[in-house]
Amino acid sequence: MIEVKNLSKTFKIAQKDKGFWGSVKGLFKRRYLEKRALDDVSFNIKEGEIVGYLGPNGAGKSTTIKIMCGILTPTSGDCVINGFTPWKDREKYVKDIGVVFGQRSQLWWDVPVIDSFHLLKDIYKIPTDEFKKQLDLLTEKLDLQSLLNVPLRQLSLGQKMKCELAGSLLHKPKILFLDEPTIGLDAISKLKVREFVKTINKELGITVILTTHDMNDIEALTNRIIIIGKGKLLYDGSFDQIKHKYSKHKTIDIEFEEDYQSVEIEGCQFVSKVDKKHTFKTSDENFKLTDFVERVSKKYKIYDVNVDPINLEEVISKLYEELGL
Amino acid sequence: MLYFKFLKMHFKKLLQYRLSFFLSLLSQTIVSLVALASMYFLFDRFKVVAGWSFSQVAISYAVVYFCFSFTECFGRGFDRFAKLIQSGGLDSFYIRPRSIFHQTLCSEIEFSKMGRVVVALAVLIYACAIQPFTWGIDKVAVLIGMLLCGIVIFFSLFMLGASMCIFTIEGLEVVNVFTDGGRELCQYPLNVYPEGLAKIFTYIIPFASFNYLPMMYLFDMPGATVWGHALAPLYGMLIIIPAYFIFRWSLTKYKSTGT
Repeated sequence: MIEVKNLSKTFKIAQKDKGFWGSVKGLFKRRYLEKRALDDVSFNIKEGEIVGYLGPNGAGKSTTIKIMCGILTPTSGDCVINGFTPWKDREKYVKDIGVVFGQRSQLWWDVPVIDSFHLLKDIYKIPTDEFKKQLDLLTEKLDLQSLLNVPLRQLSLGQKMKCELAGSLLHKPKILFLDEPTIGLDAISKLKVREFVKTINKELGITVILTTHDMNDIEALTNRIIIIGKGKLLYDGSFDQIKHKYSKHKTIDIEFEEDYQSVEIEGCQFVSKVDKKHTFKTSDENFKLTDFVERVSKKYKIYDVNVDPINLEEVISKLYEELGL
Repeated sequence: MLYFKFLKMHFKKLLQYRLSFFLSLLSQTIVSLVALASMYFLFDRFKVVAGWSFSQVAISYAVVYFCFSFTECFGRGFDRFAKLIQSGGLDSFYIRPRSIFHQTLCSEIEFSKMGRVVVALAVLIYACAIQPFTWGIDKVAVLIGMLLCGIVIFFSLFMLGASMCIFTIEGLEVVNVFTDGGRELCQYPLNVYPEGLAKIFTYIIPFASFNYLPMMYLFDMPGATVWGHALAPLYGMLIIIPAYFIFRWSLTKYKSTGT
């Protein structure tokens, strides 16, 4: 359904010399620095998949999404989505995609949400009965009834996101692009957004491409992730595999009965100490709690032990580190 | 039609900020009256400037003001294209199944400029009434042609300005030299200015085609011809063809801004 092949995008950035005369010089003679925002990126996505598109800030995520949405024209490479090349057949192609940018609204700020929806109906030329059906469906699934007649500016961030999601799906797109859909949302709103995305993927068969910095979004929604960094494709595969790879990393909190000044445990790295509580890190693959406690209690008096597996944020930051980002 | 749906939305938005709307409408109206008053005092002292009477210059003023304000009202999206790029609004145009041109046209309508449009129209009617000239179908057609041509020219300039914004991201004062500057300059017939300046605004940016040249025909001035003067507005309107294609071309060079 989505085929991205050797996609590259180079931006030319005008270089300015410092100071006043530098600026004046820049007016007449410009030096350009080429920045490769995307470098030979290829991947395929099948119909009905949810794919997490990850990477640190400035990695080229937005550039890829913008090319796939038909906003930008790539410098080289190919991209065929739904049988169309986005930047060539833009007007035909975008009828079948929905896009939500987490950081900017596409609905009208000053008028009731329902008015924006009606305008979208006209922009997409949606037949009235189909529009009504889809709106009813989305209203029910997102619990929008009480929000529809309120101007967008009076809604909370979470409520706004729900309306944005509904707005992007009114024309029944086959593919949904979500650019950081949970950014800035509270825990409950995040859960609701995730649940909704899962539902539309399952029930309506919509293919979803999602960028996010919240690993819990990925954990909740999909197992397939694509990671890019510095414009290059670095990983395309399962999230579980990566989690498994880093699962040996653990944080261990031990509370002792006595206030030891320094505690040394083989295979563990000391991190911090607060009163009688010491924190360690380990990367031991064969870590077993019973053996560990037995070993430590030979030398020290243990009051309590708590072991935390590495959390998702740490997994991804370790991965970025390893990939040299 | 989609444009009228947008018009309705802009009107709804306006109703949310009624006081602000009326205040800007009022200020716009006063500004244009002040400009007219200064012209009146000038003529009160000199009676005739470069062969043009007060009522003739008032017609020139009214035509330019009407065209400019009308275009500012309905072509606002192009006028403020830089803001559209900076806010990311242009990105969302690209993901809708309509042309960028159409969506830009729909994106902003500045109703408060209607104050100026109405003043300009009132001045035009009044000046036509006090100007002693022989009316005829041809003269009415020329006058309407002038108004249409002026709108098309200002609109083309806005479009060219918008095209430049694609490359510079920021708005450019250079564009205002031609739009605002042109508006101020052309309130007086071009023969009051040095020849070089008059030539620029005749052949490069065809402002003369919707006031100076056709007005010579309108007032039966010596040397006025049908082909050279009465039909000038038709030639002037051609500027929209290159302007439209330059706009279309620049859209393919759009780089978007970071999030």
